[in-house]
Amino acid sequence: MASGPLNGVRVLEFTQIIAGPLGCQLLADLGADVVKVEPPHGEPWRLQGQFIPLESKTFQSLNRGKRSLAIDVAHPKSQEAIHRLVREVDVVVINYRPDVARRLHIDDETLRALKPDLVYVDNTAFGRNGPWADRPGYDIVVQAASGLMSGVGKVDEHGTPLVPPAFADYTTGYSIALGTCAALFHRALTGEGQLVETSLLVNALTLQGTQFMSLPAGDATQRAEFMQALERARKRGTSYADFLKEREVILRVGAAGNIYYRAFLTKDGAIAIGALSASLRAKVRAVLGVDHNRDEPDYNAADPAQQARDRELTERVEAQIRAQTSAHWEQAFERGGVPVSPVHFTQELLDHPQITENGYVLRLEHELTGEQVMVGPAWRMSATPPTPERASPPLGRDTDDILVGAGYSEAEIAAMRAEGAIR
Amino acid sequence: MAAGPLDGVTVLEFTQIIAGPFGCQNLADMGADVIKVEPPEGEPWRQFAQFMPGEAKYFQSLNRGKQSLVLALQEPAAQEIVHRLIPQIDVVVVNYRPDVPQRLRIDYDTLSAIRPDLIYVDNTAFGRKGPWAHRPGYDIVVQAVSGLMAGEGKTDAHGAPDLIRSTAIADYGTGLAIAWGVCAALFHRERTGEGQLISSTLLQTALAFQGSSVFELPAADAMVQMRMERLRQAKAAGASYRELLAAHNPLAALAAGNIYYRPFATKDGALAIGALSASLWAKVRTAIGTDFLGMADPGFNPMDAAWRAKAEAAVAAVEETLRSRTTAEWMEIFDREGVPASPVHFPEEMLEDPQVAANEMLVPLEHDLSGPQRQVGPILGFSKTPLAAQGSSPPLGRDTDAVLKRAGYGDADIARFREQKVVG
Repeated sequence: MASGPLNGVRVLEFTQIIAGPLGCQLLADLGADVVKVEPPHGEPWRLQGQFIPLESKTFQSLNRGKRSLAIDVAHPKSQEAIHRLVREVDVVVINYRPDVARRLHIDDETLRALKPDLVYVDNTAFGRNGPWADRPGYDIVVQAASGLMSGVGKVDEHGTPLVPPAFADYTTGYSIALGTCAALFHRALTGEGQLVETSLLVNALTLQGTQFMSLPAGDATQRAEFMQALERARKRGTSYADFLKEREVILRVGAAGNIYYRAFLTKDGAIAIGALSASLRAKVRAVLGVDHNRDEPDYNAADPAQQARDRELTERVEAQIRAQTSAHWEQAFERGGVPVSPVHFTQELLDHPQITENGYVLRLEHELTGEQVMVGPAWRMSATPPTPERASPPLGRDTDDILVGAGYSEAEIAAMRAEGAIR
Repeated sequence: MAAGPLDGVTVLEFTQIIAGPFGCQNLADMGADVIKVEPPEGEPWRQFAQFMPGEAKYFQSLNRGKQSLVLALQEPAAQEIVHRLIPQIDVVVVNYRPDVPQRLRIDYDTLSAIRPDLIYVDNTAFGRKGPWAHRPGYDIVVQAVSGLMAGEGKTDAHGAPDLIRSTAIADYGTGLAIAWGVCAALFHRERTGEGQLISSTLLQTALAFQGSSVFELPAADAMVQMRMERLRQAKAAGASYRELLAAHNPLAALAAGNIYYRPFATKDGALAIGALSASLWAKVRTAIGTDFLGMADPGFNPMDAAWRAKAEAAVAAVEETLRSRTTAEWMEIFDREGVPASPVHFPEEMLEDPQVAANEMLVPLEHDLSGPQRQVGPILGFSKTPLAAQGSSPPLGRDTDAVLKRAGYGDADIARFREQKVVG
């Protein structure tokens, strides 16, 4: 029996790849009963890097604790089945392009007529309005469109931008879970359901809130200078890599040296330190035994002479840190009260004591692929602990159960299977 | 105009920098009444790159719609004020190091004794247990600990790791997790009357964002184990960070055949395409005019040197093709063929973007001290209980008097507190 705060809440999921599946996995972690509606050939992420037919690690990491209903939603008989199921659910989550839901008769209006207090969560790539509304958008495309990619500011040896991790997708998954819970709270208070909408684009912008924000009192001249430079560069046909350099100068990204919030090479690897206040910066200087006027009133980051001094200091500190091991510096910064960590590789963390002692890993058994260890829910709750109990479902494992639950007879189910409506 | 879904919920916030403030800003967008408790000098983010005293873009972008209450929490009198406020508070959010709340008498046990159905979010960097529990942790440190930084695999000119600069992802992700947890707990409290303690950490969020990398699956992990063995050997041999990256990077070989999900430089800039299915892959080939199959090749074998060499040459030819036309020309072609694609925009130009405008993703606000501003609005659209930015961020201590009066203090009490430097 699930123990989370959403125990008893029923969710019907029409999503694929990362954002929607993660959002619904977060709801499943909280105890909701999530039915994932998949096409008879499985959602695309089952096929991406599959190691046995229809099973991949990416899929299994984003779909734990769900039931799988394998059904061709375009089939007329299936639509009837979906409509029957909707009457029994609390939440529908969908991430099709704006026109698809209507075509399949699973849009908010159609389903709300069947279940007036439904919470309907609609996720799109770019929002329902505007010139890009009907465009397909995957994480990489939205990162390019939103500025996340250029914000990383890195290019490969050919001048091509490098790809950041799938942040637009992952954060949108959290927003989906957040919006669902807020709407459920409102429904518990008032009995009223509603449409909740989000998009990969607005989440990607939110992650860059400060850069995105316009504040004439604080940055009018810098922003105007940047926009003019961009327009000039585009007219000239300046390459992406060259314009990045221009941008760094205008926005003063890394113009001066920086010894306080960055990663350093050590003798045997790398460490990162994060000092963001005057008191922490003083501790960094104490550990390194260096002087720097960074927190003096006369410090002016825009002054070229200061920048030259900062760069010289940075080079000296880099050499100093490179002369000792990561363990040495971890201990020295830790003793000096400076936030520090070695640069770990993700895969070496599964048995790291900080992670195991906090119970961040979750052990599950998948019915086809056996044991697995994965990241558990993002937080604990004292009264209603989220306790995921099941791995991701094999494709269509629960089709029969779910249809029987909606009132279908075995004969009807067999007929639908024979027609290819379900798997 | 209808109120947000958390209309009537009151939140007391003891947080700073990004994760906690962003979490509580989401709650404010949802209509909650958020009181931010700040020290007399203001929280550190007010001072970071301040453009006028006590005001910075960083702070203003993460604290809209809140009230500011200045309390010197180390003073017992200030702690009494908090205790007197608690009966009117539904949610407390704290992100101090594990030992601090107890010392300030704002820990869960103390506050839930005053209000038993309190929802209390305790956010830490690394969790309450384990060897790192008492360490300070900022986003960059959590990036390093969690594998995010090395997983990125980017290095600077000297081969040192480069942090993820576009966003403080562990912080922002945790802010979403905090708001989400509060909403789930409010729902549970509404059904049962029961409050509870919620714990979240930056570390856990950073791991969750790397889902399938922090995932051991013996049935599928033969390659991962080989890679980790290579990494262990390289470490034992004292390899440089770049060499460690090469030993570790699972995508280096795969990248050999990748023309489908990646950015390209164009004649006048850059674009990215994102095709993740066989049907989209075919559209990419048509749009570019190549017969190179890459990842779609049934004989795809990046481990085979001969295959890889052919693939590298083919990918280089495709890159050359992309560089032969402008971004606008390619976008027209990709749109026509149905390939997911976008120019690589800069974050600063998104303020003028028509797609952003059409979906009203921007909100104009007026700050008491620094005047007009525009920022990203609420993440979610709600049809019945619309979210709204409830105002800009507060100047330091703007609401101290109003909040204290709400707790039943008179003008004379407040004047005395101010004189004793308990409030500001």
